[in-house]
Amino acid sequence: MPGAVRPAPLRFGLVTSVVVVLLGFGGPGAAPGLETDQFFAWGRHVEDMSEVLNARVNLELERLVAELNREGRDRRCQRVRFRFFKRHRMLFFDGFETWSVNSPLVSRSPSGPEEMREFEQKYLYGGTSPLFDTGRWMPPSPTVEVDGIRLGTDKLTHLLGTAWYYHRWYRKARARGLTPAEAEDRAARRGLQHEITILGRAVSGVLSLADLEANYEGMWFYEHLCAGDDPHIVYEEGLWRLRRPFDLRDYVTPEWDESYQPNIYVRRKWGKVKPRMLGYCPMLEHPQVRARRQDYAKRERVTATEELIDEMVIAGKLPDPSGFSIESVCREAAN
Amino acid sequence: MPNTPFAAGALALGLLALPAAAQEVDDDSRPEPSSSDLAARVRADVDETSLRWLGIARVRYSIPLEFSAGGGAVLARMPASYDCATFCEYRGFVAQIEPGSAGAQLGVGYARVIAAQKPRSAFLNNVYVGWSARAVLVRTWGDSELDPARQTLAGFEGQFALPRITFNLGVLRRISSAHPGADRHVYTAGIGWGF
Repeated sequence: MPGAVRPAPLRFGLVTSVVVVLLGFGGPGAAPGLETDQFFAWGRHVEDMSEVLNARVNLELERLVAELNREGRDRRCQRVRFRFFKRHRMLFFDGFETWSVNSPLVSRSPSGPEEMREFEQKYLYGGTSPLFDTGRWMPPSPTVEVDGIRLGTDKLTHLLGTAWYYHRWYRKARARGLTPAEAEDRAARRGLQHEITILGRAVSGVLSLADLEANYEGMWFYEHLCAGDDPHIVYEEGLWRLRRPFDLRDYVTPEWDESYQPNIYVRRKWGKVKPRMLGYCPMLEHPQVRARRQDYAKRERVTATEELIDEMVIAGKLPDPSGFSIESVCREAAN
Repeated sequence: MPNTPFAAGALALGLLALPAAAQEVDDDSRPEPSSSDLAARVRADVDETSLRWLGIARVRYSIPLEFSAGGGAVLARMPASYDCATFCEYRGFVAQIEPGSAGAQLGVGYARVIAAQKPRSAFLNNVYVGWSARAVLVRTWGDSELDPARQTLAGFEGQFALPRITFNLGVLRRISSAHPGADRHVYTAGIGWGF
């Protein structure tokens, strides 16, 4: 058969199978994870990064304003929102998160080679298979502190990246004539479905309520970026200007801390996570941990995401997240 | 061309020997309206960028190279302060030479890859996700499944990588002479490890 590739489908298929299986089992290049672990940061000093992270986001807002002024004309707010989203959108992760896990200006945990090695041993999701647990195909997000609240840097991706899609769903619903409350509800439910299916539980076995909180808050960030009564960016007298700087403290709540707001796990994942979580029970008495959790309890409120989750729990569509809390795990172990 | 794999391997080693450290500092920062020292430090941290060469390697089975091992480099610009111990996004030029049991390939193109780098390592150690689009030049020989076995082909290859596994698809056009009736195009596919 002149000129054609002599088919080698059998060999190709065999090699494909061998590569998939062999390289999967403990081969080099294993990825540590897609999740975040605030338990590891318990008892460790992490400086408050509110001002630093605000400065980073405000730098991008200032640059957006400068870019808009170079073009010298008014723009539809939705276009301005998209321009901001595009400025920091990267492959898979958000630019702000990438900066926060690398910049020497950001205090985070784990940090430095020694703590990184310790993290590899103690990582909450470290008990699962790096091959079959897709949540471990991506790097874990370190913990930072904002306004006294510990959160994974992945929340920056959720607040300023994933939330863009929430906001689009919100705007679409509004364009179809839904009231703001109905549109908000529509976006939050669609976001929950995404987190249950493609982004969270079905893929990694973890439904992160903290991620949902950040997504929800980010929707409002985008809504108020250049519209409403108190926008960040305005167009006045032929010029764009940053009217109100971004402040992460306006959005972050104790529910963003995954050691406080428990995730919902699928059974196979929970079986691996629970023993590692148990190891943190003695730390509940640590003065720093106790003080922080007491402070969280004072600041806690019932969020829109929590109301939605409660509704799903009552309907039997999700398990009660309180069963996955550290308090519940430690209480059960003590009995 | 019995010496082709050796020559290709030597060139790959030469590429990998390039220094991984910062080689150029971009001083293109514009003055921004800001009064605080912190804002200035953040701005400097973002704007002071450097070009980095990072080694890449892959082993794979593909049509038409069959079993092959590739070595090359990604050249990417990023903030100079980044240690990439957790992850970085490397965006930029990619070049790779890949000798195999039935041929060798030279590829150059553009890559975007999320990866981590171990301290003092000149390689991308953990590739989490990435893709590349490359223009490739392929020479096949003895064990090739192609007819004729010795051909020179040029074309394009797209690569998609996940942790531990990499896939590629492409199309090549024969640029060497062959007997009448020989197909001019070959579709390529491969699977392996690395980037």
